[in-house]
This record gives sequence, structure tokens and C-alpha cells, in this order.
Amino acid sequence: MLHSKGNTRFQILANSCMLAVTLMVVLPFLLVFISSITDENVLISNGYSFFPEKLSLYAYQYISGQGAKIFRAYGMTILVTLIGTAVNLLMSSMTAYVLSVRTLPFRHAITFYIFFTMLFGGGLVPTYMMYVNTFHIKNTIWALVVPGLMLSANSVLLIRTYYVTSIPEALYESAEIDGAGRMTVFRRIVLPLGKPILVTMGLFTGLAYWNDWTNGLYYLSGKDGQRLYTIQNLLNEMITNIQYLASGKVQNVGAEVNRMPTVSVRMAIAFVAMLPLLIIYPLLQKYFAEGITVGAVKG
Amino acid sequence: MGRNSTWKAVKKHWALYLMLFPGCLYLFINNYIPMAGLIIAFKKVNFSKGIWASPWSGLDNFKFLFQTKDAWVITRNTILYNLTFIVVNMIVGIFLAILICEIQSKIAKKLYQSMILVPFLMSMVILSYIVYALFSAENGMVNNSIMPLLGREAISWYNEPKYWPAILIVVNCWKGVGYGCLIYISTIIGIDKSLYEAAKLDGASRWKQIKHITLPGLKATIITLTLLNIGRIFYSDFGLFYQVPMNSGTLLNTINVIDTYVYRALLQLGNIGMASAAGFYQSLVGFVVVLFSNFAVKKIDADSALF
Amino acid sequence: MRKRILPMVLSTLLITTAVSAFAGCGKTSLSGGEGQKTPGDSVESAEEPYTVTMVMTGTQQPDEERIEQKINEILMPELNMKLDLVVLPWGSSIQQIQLMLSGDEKIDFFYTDAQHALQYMNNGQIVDMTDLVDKYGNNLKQIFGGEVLQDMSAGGFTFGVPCHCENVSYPAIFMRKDLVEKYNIDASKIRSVEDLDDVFATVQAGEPDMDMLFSNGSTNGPMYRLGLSKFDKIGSFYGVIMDPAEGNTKVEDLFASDWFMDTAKLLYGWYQKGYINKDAATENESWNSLMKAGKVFSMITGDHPAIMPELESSTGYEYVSVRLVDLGVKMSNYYSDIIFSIAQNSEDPEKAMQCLDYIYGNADIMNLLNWGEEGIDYVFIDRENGLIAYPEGVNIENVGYSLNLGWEIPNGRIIHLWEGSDPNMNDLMEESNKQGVPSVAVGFVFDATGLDTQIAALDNVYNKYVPSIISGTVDPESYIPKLIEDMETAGLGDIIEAKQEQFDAWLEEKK
Repeated sequence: MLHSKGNTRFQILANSCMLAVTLMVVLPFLLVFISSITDENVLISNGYSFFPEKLSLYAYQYISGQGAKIFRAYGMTILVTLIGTAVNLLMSSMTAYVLSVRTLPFRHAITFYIFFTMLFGGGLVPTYMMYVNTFHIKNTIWALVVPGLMLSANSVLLIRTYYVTSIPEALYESAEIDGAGRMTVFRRIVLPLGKPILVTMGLFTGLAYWNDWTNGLYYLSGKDGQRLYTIQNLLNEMITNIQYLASGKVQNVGAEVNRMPTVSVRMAIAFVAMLPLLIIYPLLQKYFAEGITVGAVKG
Repeated sequence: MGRNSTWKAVKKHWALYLMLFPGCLYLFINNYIPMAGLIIAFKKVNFSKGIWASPWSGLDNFKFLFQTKDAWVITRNTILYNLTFIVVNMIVGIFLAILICEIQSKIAKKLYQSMILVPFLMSMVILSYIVYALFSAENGMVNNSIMPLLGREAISWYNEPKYWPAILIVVNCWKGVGYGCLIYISTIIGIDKSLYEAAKLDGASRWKQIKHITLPGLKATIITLTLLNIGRIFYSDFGLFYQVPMNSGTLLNTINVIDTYVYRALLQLGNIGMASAAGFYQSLVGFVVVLFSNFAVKKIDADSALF
Repeated sequence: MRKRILPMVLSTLLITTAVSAFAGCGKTSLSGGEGQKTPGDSVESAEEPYTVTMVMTGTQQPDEERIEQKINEILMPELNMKLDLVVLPWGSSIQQIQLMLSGDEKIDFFYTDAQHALQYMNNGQIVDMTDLVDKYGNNLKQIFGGEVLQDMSAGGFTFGVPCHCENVSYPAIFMRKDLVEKYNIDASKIRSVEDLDDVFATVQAGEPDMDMLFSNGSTNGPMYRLGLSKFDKIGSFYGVIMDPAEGNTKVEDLFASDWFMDTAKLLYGWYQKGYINKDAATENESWNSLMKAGKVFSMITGDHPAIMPELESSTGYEYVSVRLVDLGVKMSNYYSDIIFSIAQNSEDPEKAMQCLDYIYGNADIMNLLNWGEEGIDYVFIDRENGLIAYPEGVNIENVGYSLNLGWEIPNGRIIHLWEGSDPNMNDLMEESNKQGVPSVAVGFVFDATGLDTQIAALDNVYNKYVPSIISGTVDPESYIPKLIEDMETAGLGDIIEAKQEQFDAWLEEKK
């Protein structure tokens, strides 16, 4: 069967089909990269293309020369991702551990309290007013870390399930006999044994932080806000500005348009923003796949 | 179990409650406090008086919302897009999953499996750059390189509503198909190998094996995934509908979903009443739909149910 | 050992972050209202200086703080106030202002337009400036006279004060000078828009790869630029006054007018002949970058004394301009398109008003605000005429501060001029503005309260048809009737009726 003619034909067909799919995945990213090294005037007159008439490294020279803003945004992205992921993981794993303790009084009520946040929400307006008026997070780094991303009921419940199914009850019992407190149990048993799920959840949380642009859009403005822009905020602002100026709602925009980053620079920043993901992904591919099969991401 | 013994048990677990505290506090702030804000939908907001002191307006905000055609349009769009997304991503996902599983070369298998997930990792902002590079009327690659090859006139994509359902479906599929595909692959791997062995001995063709073993094996996963997605049918990816079509006004009727409507009403038109009415409508109907779909999942596969 | 330390570090981190997230963040809040109250700072006065937060829209400048300091050196001794400038990005400023006004963030005054200001007024987000202007608006009264200020009110509520940058402009064609010369085009023979046909035909024959006329579906496109003197849109395109300089007072449907149909046909004709860029309806690149890339031969825009230097500097080409209509009209939005309003969130509206009025009259502050610091951000090339340029080695990409928004800052008429400008710019402007014939509706502001539903529906209809029609990319004979019909269903009649009613009442009152 394995070496039959039909099978070889099928393998060729299946492989070429998948190769086509792979190309469809890769080409758009390649287009971003090629546009970033295309000469600006060629870009404007011939459009985006895989085979530009003239190449230019201007965009990257621009970034390395004038790119203080870009480097800062890059640093912010990294910082926010690190802080956010660390806090999220610690809080999620602690909460999940507590919920996995079967003898805990009010366990079901608390689980429901956490779970209910997945079903119902207040929406943008009240959330914004609360964070800004009560907690004053506007234009602070917390604006990027705290709202919406620090803890999700979904990941708490997933981690809990993992603890319940893969940490044997006997381990807890023997620890208790040894007189270990809850904190010690958490540190010495739960965290080490839960490592696989924590790595997986951590990856997805980190990804969410890396890709988040809405918090910056809502909670950062003015010079204090722009100092805190992440790379996604910067990209988003560039493209909305360019569109707005082109829409003709403002008069006398000549000089303004001139100081907008050119097409190739925009593309270069976009490329730089996705580069780390493209590098990290192959190394941690296994964990990503695992995370998806356990349902780490909704949809 | 008297009150006393409960109290004792609580006291015994004090360290656990302490560990629970940060998470619960966060959810209280981030999720519960804003729920109280839903009352804005019943107010005529005047900021000089403050939200709480603003006069009540009864159901006026809802009356305004449902008097416009918008209420119908955004509901229709949200539901139709989501349904199409579910069906398209499912079909393509299953197709690719089966294809990948049938491929013998281990390296190739792994490569394909990794590649289809890459778009899933990118943010909507990046995606909007890519879509713009392809479809920008004047500079886009489609108009400059592909349309001439087909001998067709250039099209101003961002101004032609009729193409956008297709574009959004493709973009969504491109971004999201890897996700479903991986889940299907893991289910297929979990199917009992001996079934295939037996079928081969009986001389069943590849297609027959797929039809009689693989697809039935996927059934539970398909149903669960679909129902879970239906549970979120009232919510949509803000970035996909706002950022990717570049907020182009001409496309509004075709691309406006509840999430983008709320955002626009609130921040572009400054109509807080209508924005919060639409938000309330979404929260409420979305809640009912989740309950319903979860009920259905529970009937089919209790383990996959949300609660 | 390592294993034990890591979780502990993480727990400590968690607790400190959690605590500081909620307790410590007040310190770094935006306005600096409380942040700058450091002891020992208030030597000059017994009273704490008040920090005025001014919000503008534009491009964030790297050295904003240096300029703020310079401005404060003037403001502190005069008013015992400090200025905190906040520049919001173009693309999201409307959203961000809405968010800021919905929160309790401190804003004192901000740049907006009458339409939005009315919306803020109805939401209780701005304060009534009537008494404030009366009490503190000395410079304002001197610059604008009482009447203009009165015009900035609705139902007795003064919602803003205008920027001093108004201009009257005339529909004109701007053609690339090099090509005009190359193809021997006699610009003096162009008298009306119809004469452009031959010009485009000649140039296109020689430059088949170029677009003859820049067009798009926005208010920057040729349609509305040609209509600069033709109709007064009194707040929106839904219900306008045609030929407002002739004293017409009837509010009617712009899209049903003969002028709209004729102009759309003209543009569509050009489109069919290939003079107009093929994706004009959604053109996202601005005319500046298209012109700069050498893709376009000409554009139609408003001609006024300041336009030429701006066009030339932003595109790198020289132009020949011809006015297509000889009538310039001061429309009702003459003042109300660019205004400053005082936010409800202001901690001290009186001080905000005092400061705003003061900077209207202070050329040093206006220059700092717009051009930055002399010697660092600009140098004089002709001190007598007040002409300036970048210093040696400084350009648009590395300048520390150059807001360059003469039309948006409160008083753009008392600032230095950029090199290449006519030194008599202000006189020319004054002259040009004087030549403008006032529309019957100057000073009238339409209050659209209660018409939200219709406006939202009309916006949808507008976006569906109008950009394609006014950019010339579709056949008006088949699209305009559909547009008119859908507009009627969407409730255009209600708006026109309300506009007419308010307008008649306003006319009555004015008598």
C-alpha cells in the first residue's frame, strides 16, 4: 500500500496543495519585507510589488538614525509584555491552585464569581471611566498592563483543570503531613509540576500583550502618553494619521503630511514589529500548538 | 454542618483566601465595577452633572437605537459574518487537517502544521498593513500586478462594499484557520489506529477511510467548537472590522458590527446614549446566547461545556 | 536554591505592582495639575501657580517641554500660570477628546469646531463662555469685535472663541509650472472650469502616465473646492443655502441642485477621458505625496495669499494658478470651523479664560507655540519682514520643535512668516478677507440636537454615494437620483425643515 502508485500520486498532490497553502501564508509577510526595502518613489508610482524596480535601504537607515521613537516603543512593548505576563501568570496560577483545592469552603461560589466574567461585561464606556477617574491609570505604564489583560477567567479555569488532573492528590497529602503550609505547597509542588501549562499560558499571554493596541488607543494621549507608546500603538497611529490627513477633513496639511513616515518606513516598522514573533515561534512551536489544543485562546 | 464548622473551615484555609485575593480583586475592578455602568443606557448623560446625577431617560436610548436602520444592520452583519466565519473556518480547517495527517513525510507534516499558525500570531494592526498593501487602490499589489494579469480593470477596493464580505472572510480564515486546524489534527491523532488498520485490511480506499473513520471521529470536536463559537456570535473582532477596512465610510453598511457601532457612536459621534444602549443590547443578548449554546454543548459533550 | 528564589521574587513583584498600580499612579497622571506642586516652586507668588492644560491636534514635537518652559517664563510673571500643552494625533484626536471629556481628566481649553462643540454642549462637557469672554476677553474683543463673539453661541450659550486665521478663498486650478511651459499652455486663456478640457487633453497626450487632475471623495476634492463660493453648508451638507452671497435664504438640498449635477457630470466626463486617478473615490494618499511623486499634473483648491508657498514647499514643484471663479464668499463657518472651547473638566474656568485671552495677544507665545525657539528651531533670514527658516543643519526630520499649525493656534496672524512667504502676507490676507462677500448666514450655527437618528442615517447614505459621485468616478445621471431618494428616506426633510426654522428665527432676531 505504502509504495503503490496511487499513494505516490496522492502524496504529490497533497504536498503541492499544502505547499500552496504555505506560500499563501508566507507571501504577505514577504511583501511587507520587500516593501520596506523598496525605493519610496517606486512604491508610490508602481505600487507594492514582489519585484520592485529599485531597492533602497532608506527605511532602515531612517529607523536606525531617526528612530529614537521607534526604539523606545520597542522597549515599551518588551517591558509591558514582561511585566504583564509575569503578573498575569502569578495571579492566574495562584487563583487556579486555590480553586483546585477540593476542601475549600465556598469553592463553587468563587469559581462562579470568576467564571461569570466570561459571560457578561460592562463594555468600554464604564470601564474607561472607572480606570481613568478612579484609578488614574491614564498615561501611566499601568494603562498598558492592567485593563483587560491581567487575568482572564478562561486561563484560570484551564490551569485549574490542569492542576486537578495532573497533580496527584497524594502529593498534597504527604506535603501536609510534612507540615508544609499552603504557600510552600504552591511554591514547591504546584508551580514546578504545573510548569508545562504555565509556559503555554505564558506564551499566549505574552502574545496578547505584544499584539495589544487597544489599551494604548484608549488610555494614552499627549506627550506623556506618546512616551509610553508600544510598537503596535505607533503603527496604529501612523496609519490612522495618514488616512485622516488624506481624508481632507483638515485644511493646510501640506507640512504635516511631509513629516509623516513614508510608505517604506511604515512597512519597515511593521516588519520590525513582527520579527520577534517570527523568530521565537519556530523555537516554541510545540507550546503554541499545545496551548491551542487545550483551549488557551478563545476563538 | 453548622455555621461554626464552616467558619472553622474558612479559618483553616486562610492562606488560600489570601492567595485568592489579588485575582478576585482584579476581576472585581476590571469586570464587576463596569457592569454597574450599564445603567448609563437608561440615562440622558450630562457630564456637568455627572453620570449618577444625570436624569433618567427610561427606554429613550433604546427607542432611538431601534428606530434607526442601524440596529437591524449591525445585528444582521454581526450574526451573518460570524456564521460564515464558523462554517468557512471549519470546512477549510478540517480539509487541511486531514490533508496534513495523510502526508507521510514527517518533516513536511511538521512544517505545514507550523506554517498555518503563523498568521494567528500577528496583531490586527499588522494585518491591516498587509491588507492595505494588497488592496490599496492606487498602490496595492492586486491592482498593480494581479488585475492586469487577468486583463481586468483596477478596482477601488476600499470603496466597493460588495467585495468586503469576501475579503473579510478570507482575511479571517487566513488568520484563524490554523487554530481550528490544530485542534482537528490533535483529534485525528487521537483516533484509534486499529480502526484504520482494519479498514486497510478490508481494502477500504483512502476516501472511504476518511469518510467512515476520520470524519465520524471528528464529529464531537466539530460540534463542540461550533457551539462554543455560536456562543460568541454577538461579539466580533473589533480590529478585523474597524482596522482592516480602514474605517472606510463607504463600506459602513457592509462592515458595521455591534462592536464597531458602539465605538463609533461613542467616540466619533459623541452619542453616549446610543452607544451604551447598543452595548447593553449586546451584553444582554450575548449572555442569553451563551447560556443557550452552553446548554446545547452540555447535552452533547458534557466535558467541553463551559459550565 | 534558584527554584525557591524565583517564586518569591515574583510574589514580591506582584504585590508591589498591585499596590503601586492602584496607589501610586496618581503621581504620574497627565495634567501635572497636582504633579507639579513641588514645594519651593512658588517663590514668585504666594499663590500656587495654576497649570492650564491646552489641547491641540497635530504632530507631537520632541522638544515640547523646552518650549513649555519658555512659554512659562512669560506666563508666570504675568499671570502666575503655567501652560501644559497636549498635542493629540490627527487620526484619533476626536476620539481622544471625547474620551478625555468623558473622564474627569483635566483639560482647560481645546481646539475643536462648532459642530463638535454643540455636541459637547448638549452632553454638558464644555462650559458657557459668555460671562468669561465678557469679563476677561479683552484681546478677543479687540481682535474680533463683539459681533463675532456673539455669533459663537447657541441659545445664549457661548461654546467657543474663534482662531484668528480666517481666510476667504477662491476656487482655482494649480498646474505644474514645468509642464505648463513644456506644452506651451496659455494660462491667461483659462477663464472657467470648462476651459480645462483642452489643457488636460494637451498635457495628457504628452504625459500618458500622469493623472491630469487630483481628485478624491473628500472635501479636499475638486467638487467641493469648485463649490467654495457656491453654497453655504451651515454645519453640514444636509440642507444648504445656494448662492449665499446673493441673499438667498432658502435652505435646500445640495444634492438635488443643478450645480451639483452639472459639476458631477463635468468631473465624470474627465474621469471617462482618463484625466482623473482611477481610484479617486477612495484615494488614501494625500495630494501632497502624489504631487511630490510626480504623478499628478494639477489640482483644484482654494486660492488665498498663503497657499502658494505651502504648495511649493510641500510638493517640491512650482505651480501656475488660475482662479476659476471671481467671487470669494465668507461662509457661515468662516469663524466657527476652528475654535477653542473651555472644558467642563477645567478646574478653574476663569483662569483658563484669562490665559486663553492673554495668549491671543502675545506674539512671543504664539511664535513659541508655532515655530519653537529662535536660534534653535528657527532663525531669521529677514528680520525686518519677520521671515524665518530652519537654522543650518536643521530640517523637518530633526527639528526639535516646529508645530507649524498657523491656522490652528489661537492667533496665527501675529507670528513670523516662513521663508518664501510674501512679507506682506498679513496685509494681503486682510485685503483678501475684506474682498470676500459675506454669506447671509455668517454667524448662524445650526443646532442639531434631537436629530441624531436622521443624521446617523444620512451619514450612511452620504458615505455610500457621495464620495464616488464627487470624485467623478461614477455616472451622476444614475447615481444622483438614487442618492436623493435615499436621503429623503433617511430624513433629510426633517433636517432641512429644522435648519430653515432655526435660520428664519435667527434672521428675525438679527433684524
